[in-house]
Amino acid sequence: MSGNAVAFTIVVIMFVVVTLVGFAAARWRQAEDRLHLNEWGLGGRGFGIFITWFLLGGDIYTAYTFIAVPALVFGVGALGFFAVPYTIVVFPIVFVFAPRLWSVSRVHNYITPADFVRGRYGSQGLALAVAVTGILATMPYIALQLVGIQAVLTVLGVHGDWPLIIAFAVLASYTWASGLRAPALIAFIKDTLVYVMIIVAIFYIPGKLGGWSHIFSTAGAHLAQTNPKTGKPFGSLTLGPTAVWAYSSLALGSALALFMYPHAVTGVLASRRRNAIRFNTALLPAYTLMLGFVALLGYMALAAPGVPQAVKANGANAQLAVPFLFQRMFPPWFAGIAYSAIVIGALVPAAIMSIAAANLFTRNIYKEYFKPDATPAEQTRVAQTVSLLVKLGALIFVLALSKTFSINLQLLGGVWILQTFPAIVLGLYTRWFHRWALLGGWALAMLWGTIAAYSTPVPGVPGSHFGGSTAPVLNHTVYIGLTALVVNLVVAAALTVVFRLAKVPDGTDETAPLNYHADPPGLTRPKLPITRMTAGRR
Amino acid sequence: MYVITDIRHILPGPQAGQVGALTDHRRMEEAVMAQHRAPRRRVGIWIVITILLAASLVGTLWVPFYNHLTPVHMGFPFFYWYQLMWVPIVAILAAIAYLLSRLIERSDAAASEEALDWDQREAD
Repeated sequence: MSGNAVAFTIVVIMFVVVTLVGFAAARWRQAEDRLHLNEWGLGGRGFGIFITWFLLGGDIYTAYTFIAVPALVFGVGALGFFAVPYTIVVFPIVFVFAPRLWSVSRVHNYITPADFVRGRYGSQGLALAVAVTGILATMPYIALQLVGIQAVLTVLGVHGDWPLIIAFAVLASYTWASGLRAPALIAFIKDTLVYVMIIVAIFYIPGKLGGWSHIFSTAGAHLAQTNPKTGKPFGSLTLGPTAVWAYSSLALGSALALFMYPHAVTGVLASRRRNAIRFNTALLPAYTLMLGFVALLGYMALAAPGVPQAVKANGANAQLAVPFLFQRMFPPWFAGIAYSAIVIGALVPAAIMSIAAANLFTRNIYKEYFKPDATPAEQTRVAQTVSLLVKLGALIFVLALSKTFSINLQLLGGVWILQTFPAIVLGLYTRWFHRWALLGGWALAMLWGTIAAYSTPVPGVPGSHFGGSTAPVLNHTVYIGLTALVVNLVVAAALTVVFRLAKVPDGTDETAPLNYHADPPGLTRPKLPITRMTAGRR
Repeated sequence: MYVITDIRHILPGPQAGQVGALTDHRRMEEAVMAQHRAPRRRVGIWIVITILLAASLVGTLWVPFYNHLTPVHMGFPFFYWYQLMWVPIVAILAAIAYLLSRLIERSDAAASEEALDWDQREAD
């Protein structure tokens, strides 16, 4: 058997194991009412600190981490490292607002961010905007997972679309059967594989390549070469003057966007206790450390003999850098383990994302506009179907957009999802903004962001579209999502003043200030609170 | 079934004067006084938490702090090891902030009132 055949066999075996676990998950922590959306979609809201950690980690660290970020580092150098400050600053941000969202959602039984917006602003229109944005933005993010799987398969010499289609059919069927329990359980396998892969990679590969100093200097020399397409160097080990603002705005914009994604909100809401979320912000940086080293795989790929040439020979597809690196550095059996980690690491989030988008559609579009009296069982059926459709939508993004840097898929999703930030996060703190002003700000920012992203050409290909996620503003290159958010906030604030002066009716708020601090016991095993006061009285 | 945990729900009972009720009454007064002290302490703790969390934002997002190659540490240019160093720091800062936030919530009577609303909702 050739090396690739060994690696491919291992990937297939791991895939079968994961599939069996996925179907078995339906029986894990089973509840009485399996067809309730709370069950299928939030795993019964009963996950403790440990599972929440795995689930949020599974949400966040995806093919984005293993393929897209190192590909960008491989292609342009330091700029790709923005993913590290991104996944650092995201936790302080989550620490502040996520417990409030958890509490108010638990009190009012909200399952999606759009549920909250509807309750807070009494506005169906704003809730619809949040729901549609969530579904739309999830699709390119799932598309990124597909591109990651495809990269592994390409390096394994498996061509054509059928392996991808099989993988997705299997994924779709156990997602259908087990709901959120499947990815939560598979996340254990995934993270074990991923940690093994990372630890081996960061200790084994640098030794083989002559140490970190050599890796950085070789990579720096590679990046300093002139890119024939643009006539400029590919990149460098530090940021050029124009990239400084791009770097921090990409990091901040991505961090603000992450927990607006329906799947990340799902991870938060599935937690059993309010405290589990804050506690997790201290534990989740373990994933960030891993991400930092994975990003540096991009430099290892530049320094590894034969890898840059192999990437170039395959259409200069930077996404292939890490899979080729593993092929050249690892013995075939371990390359197979590492590829399995990447493939499963893409499948788990794809499942979680499609479940979350399906919840959004069911709760906030189907039940709201098509069938208000839908039974819980009917809702679960619709959600199952939509989770399938969302994955098909992701395929369209894979086929339609440039794959020069797949990270742009995630950043494009970020441009859109970030526009729900004012309604959701500011809404957790204040009702000052008028509901229609928020809708106006959202609409204009969506338009602005989409046009700006559309008119960004692929570097070196004039006239092409959706080629990048940064655009110049006032002589600085800035992440489009963040500039659109500024547009959003300015418009929302200005319109709020106008609507208030015109005395346009503002919807009723069904939440109370204390709801945002509530910490009710879990749904499954309610415990009676025993305090100093009650202990002596019983 | 629910056990009242909020001090504000407890009124002096008909057996006022008996030992138990007297203790309750004194406890209530203590708790009410604690509630007056609480907001100030809460604000103080929240300021500390904000500073801890803001530090990690400024330290990692202000690029001029770290946009250079030297000093090199274990083969890593400064740009890389500086940012990786922030990962354990932010974990420690978040852990401290978590413990501080627990201090606030433990003294927070509001949460139990919410639990009351919520339990009634469940019972309906």
